[in-house]
Amino acid sequence: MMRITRGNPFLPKMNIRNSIFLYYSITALLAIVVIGVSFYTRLADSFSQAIIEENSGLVNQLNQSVGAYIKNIMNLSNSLSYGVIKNTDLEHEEIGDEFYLLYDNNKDFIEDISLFSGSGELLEVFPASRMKTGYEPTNKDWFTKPLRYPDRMHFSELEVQNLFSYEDNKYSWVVKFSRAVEVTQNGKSDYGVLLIDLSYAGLEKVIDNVRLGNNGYVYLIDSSGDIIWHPRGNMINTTRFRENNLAHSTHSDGVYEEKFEGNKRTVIVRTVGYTGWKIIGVTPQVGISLNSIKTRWFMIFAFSIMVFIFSIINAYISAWITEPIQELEKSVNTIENGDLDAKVYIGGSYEIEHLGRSIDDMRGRIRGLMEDLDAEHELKRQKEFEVLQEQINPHFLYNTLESVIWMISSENQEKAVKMVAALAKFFRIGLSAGVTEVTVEKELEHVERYLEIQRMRSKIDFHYEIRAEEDLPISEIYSLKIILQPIVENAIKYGMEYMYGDGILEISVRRDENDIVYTIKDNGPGMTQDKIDKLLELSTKRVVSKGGSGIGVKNVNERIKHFYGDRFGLSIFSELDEGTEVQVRIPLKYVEKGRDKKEEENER
Amino acid sequence: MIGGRMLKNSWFIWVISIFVIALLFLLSSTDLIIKEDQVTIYQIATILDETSDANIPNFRKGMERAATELKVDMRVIPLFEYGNMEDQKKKMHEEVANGVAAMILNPVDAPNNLDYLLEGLESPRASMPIAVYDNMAPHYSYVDIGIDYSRAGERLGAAIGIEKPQSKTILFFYSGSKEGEYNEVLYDSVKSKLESLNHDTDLFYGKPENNYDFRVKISKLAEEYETKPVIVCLDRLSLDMTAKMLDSLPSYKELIGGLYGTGNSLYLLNKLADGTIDGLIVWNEYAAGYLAVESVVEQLKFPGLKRDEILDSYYIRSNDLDNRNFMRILFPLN
Repeated sequence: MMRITRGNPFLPKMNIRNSIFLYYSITALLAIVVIGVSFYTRLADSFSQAIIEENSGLVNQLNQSVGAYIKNIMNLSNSLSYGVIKNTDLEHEEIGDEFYLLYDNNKDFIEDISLFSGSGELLEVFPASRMKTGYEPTNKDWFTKPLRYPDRMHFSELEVQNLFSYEDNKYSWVVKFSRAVEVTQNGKSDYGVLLIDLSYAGLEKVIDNVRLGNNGYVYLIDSSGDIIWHPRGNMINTTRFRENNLAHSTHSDGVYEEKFEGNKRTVIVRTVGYTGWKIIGVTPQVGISLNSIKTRWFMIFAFSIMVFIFSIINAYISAWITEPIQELEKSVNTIENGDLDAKVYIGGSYEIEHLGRSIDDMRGRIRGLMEDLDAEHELKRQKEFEVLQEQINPHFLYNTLESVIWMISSENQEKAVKMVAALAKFFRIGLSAGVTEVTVEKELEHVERYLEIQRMRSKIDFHYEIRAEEDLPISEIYSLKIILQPIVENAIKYGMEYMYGDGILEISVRRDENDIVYTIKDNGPGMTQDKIDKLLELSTKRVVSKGGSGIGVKNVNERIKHFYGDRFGLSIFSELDEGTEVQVRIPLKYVEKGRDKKEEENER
Repeated sequence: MIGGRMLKNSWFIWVISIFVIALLFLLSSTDLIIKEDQVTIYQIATILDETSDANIPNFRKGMERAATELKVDMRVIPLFEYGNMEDQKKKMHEEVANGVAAMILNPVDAPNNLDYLLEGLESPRASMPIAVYDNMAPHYSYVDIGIDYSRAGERLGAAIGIEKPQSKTILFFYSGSKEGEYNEVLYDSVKSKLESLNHDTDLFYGKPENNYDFRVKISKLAEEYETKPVIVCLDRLSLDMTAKMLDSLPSYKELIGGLYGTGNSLYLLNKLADGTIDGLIVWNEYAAGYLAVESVVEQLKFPGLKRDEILDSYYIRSNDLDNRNFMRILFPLN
């Protein structure tokens, strides 16, 4: 029968407990890793997005603040331009007080307010008092651009205020705001330039308080990309710090990802109205910070705890499932080793318990069957032993040999020779070199030799006849050996003995369909049904024929039934004072070719 | 017991696992094994070769910015008298005795006297981080925040050669606590450049108390030299005194062919703007102050880490003051 084996050739063979533990653990770990990575990614993305949205909001607010600041400046210039300068003839009227008033109200973010004529002459200024010697405004952009574009307002780049003289220990950074204004002198109107120096400190106040979370910052650039304000302004362009301002100036409003000096950053760009300035919000890559070594160890710790807990649970589950199976396996191994009395483990889950009960039942049945088999073998062995024993039963031999001695001593050598020859033949056929079956012919010859011996030595006088059905090939049909002799012995002892010379014993064999039937018939006194029943009663005890050849009629019946089956055996018919007929039924079984020769050799 | 055999057979694995988890807990959630960086506020003293830090405002601003960012308690200690080496040494040792963690030093009469200033510092203070500013020569033990005066001298010499070809003589002014102690690197560099352009050179010392010596010298220039000499001041003090003297006596401007020097103070830049000074060698003093503080803090955190910085120098004229790049270097944003 072909054996089917399954299994993964790449994995080592593991017991069921380790397999369950390993596969459950791997599954759990994979689930943890997948869920953890997904959750982390999702959380990081959501966190990033939230940070970007918040920072965008902050930048928008800052844009509005700067815009408001710019608008305030523009409104101030409008007040000066339309409310003060336009309607004043500067040759005859002073506007210094108005300049002072406006400056005083806005001095937190204004450095100077000044008015120039179209030719570059300083007409009014506050709080500075004079221009620097040698300073020529007419070749400066802040002066020429408003005159070229009178309807526009102009913002210069951030620069050090170099127009007016101050004390030696003071300088200030300003953004020059300038616009063309109508100046009237001596009744004549012409364009002049109103200049407001916006202090860097005032601008810084608007911007500096904004912080973008997670080490982010904002800075301000002008339309050409030059930095107006930066939290690291003084360190820009040194070896320590650089900014990507020129690239940022090319972006339109929006959110961008960039990599600058090896760091990933999110850049938010917003344009400030009127000025062309841009507010740039820079936020380094957002994520759960793993820079701290302790954070990394904590991640490993959390992962290890989960692995440990899952391992305990998996180990418990695998043990709960597999320990009953292992106990059952041990029980089966014990039974397999021959101990049918071993206790079978019954426990665990429903299926295992049921399996245990089934195995226990099976053990019981096997044990019973084996006991029956043992008993049967024992009985058979006993029967065979009895036959064997009979074959060498000394009483028959002694008696016969004594008869021979007597015959010899009586000088009846001829008879003695006949008796010895008959005895030799009797034993030779009976032994038959250990075979259980002989031919029908041999069996008849065996009983005939017996009868010969009994006639010669026994005081009982009787007649006998042995015949076989015509055309029955008695030399080609098997018969269990030594089945007629015990019956004949019985018939002589209980039948012929009481006939006083008139006893007749008939032995015949015939075929009855697929059976062979021996018939031993005597005209003796017969026997009762009780006796018949007793004779045929199956027994496990060894029945020894007393004084005779040893094997009883019971033995014959039992041997036939054991050898051929229950359908075969003895049938006894008896009638008191009439006689007894014993029929022996065995199956018709032809001799195998080749067996004959072997039998002949044994006989020699 | 179900599972009991499981535990019994592999008990040692579970025990080891528990130990590992306990160890991981100690590593990740306690300070027993890994200690988080504590925020340490370092005390740093700065002792300059100046009587007031107003003379070096940009350097001061740079130091203050770095002190804010790096959480440093900064003390700036001026000298009672310019160029007083003993005073500087005494102040230095006092600060060390007060337990200052590190020091920034602009040595008097550098580079000759650094070892003298440092001698006598007791161990372990002898290994205290020190950043030396403008020492004119690097020291093997300390961080050097310096200017490449050799290169600066070449630039200055070349500029003078181009701008003042008619001046035969170049007169070097210097001042300080001792005559004979001046910026030799700068002097040699400018001198060799100018002599290669066939200029004669001369050297003059003026005492630091006032500008009398320089005034007298200038007043006699016409007698001593065939052509109006160009004055090159080798240090900020001499340039300062000379410029102030020319401010107060404008007629003296006619006696000289031009005035050049080194220095970043606002006064000198104003003098450059108004034409009193013809050209200046400048550098980013703000960055110098920032880097000086940063370097000593780095040494405190990582002993043995020594990162010298040589600052770029620039030659500027008055029209360069409108250049925004120079504005950022010379006029740090407040």
